[in-house]
Amino acid sequence: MSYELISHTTVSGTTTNYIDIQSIPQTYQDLCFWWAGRANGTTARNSVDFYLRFNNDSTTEYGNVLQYGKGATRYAGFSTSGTQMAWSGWPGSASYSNNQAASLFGYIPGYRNTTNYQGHHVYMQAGSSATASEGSSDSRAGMWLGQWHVEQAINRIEIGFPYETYAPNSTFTLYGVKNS
Amino acid sequence: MSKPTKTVHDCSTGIITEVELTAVEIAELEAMSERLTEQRAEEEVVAEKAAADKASGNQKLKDLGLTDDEIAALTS
Repeated sequence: MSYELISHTTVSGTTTNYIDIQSIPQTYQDLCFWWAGRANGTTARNSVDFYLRFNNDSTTEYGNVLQYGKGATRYAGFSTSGTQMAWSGWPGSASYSNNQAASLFGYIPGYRNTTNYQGHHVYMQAGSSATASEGSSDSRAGMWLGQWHVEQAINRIEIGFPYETYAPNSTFTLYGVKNS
Repeated sequence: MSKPTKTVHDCSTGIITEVELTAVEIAELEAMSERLTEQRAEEEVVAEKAAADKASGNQKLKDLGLTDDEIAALTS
């Protein structure tokens, strides 16, 4: 197994809502990615919703299964028929000084597969850190299974915030995984 | 105020550009934001209720005379 860098994108300004990776090569077995950063925190909210979409699809074909700890509180749940896979209120907003950065690792097996009868899964592990809890913000860590119920090869990934913008120097790195 | 943008990396050319969002894209994000705000509120209610139930249950076990270690052994 070997990994090849497909894309490394660093946000430079403060107006970017999402990163959009297009024309992903169809030459690998799997995809995996690292996201690291935070929201710029221009709103009063103390935690920020975060989402992914594939192939510019905004239909209700997405789902989530989430299990995470937020401080000393545990949560487990799922959602279906979403227009995105999302973790509501995951990364802390920079508008609250106790919130620090967040990171996310994801693996997409068989991203070109169109005959597995289940669409695509994204296996993700995520964490965020805060020096203290403020409102719904806190240090979080969790497992997140994103689901996309469409039998298409993934050629585009959209990842970011619906109402916030990225903080400068946030990054998204996409690798192609070869099985030989 | 600056318009919202997206950072686009076209892997076929290697070119990365900052592109202003269209009115349609902005409307989509706003609709998404409303849905996720509702979802987040529902998740927080569930988590807070679970925490309150746990605290209440622990207190009832203590009232029966169990120690913290005995409660931990029973509930972990």
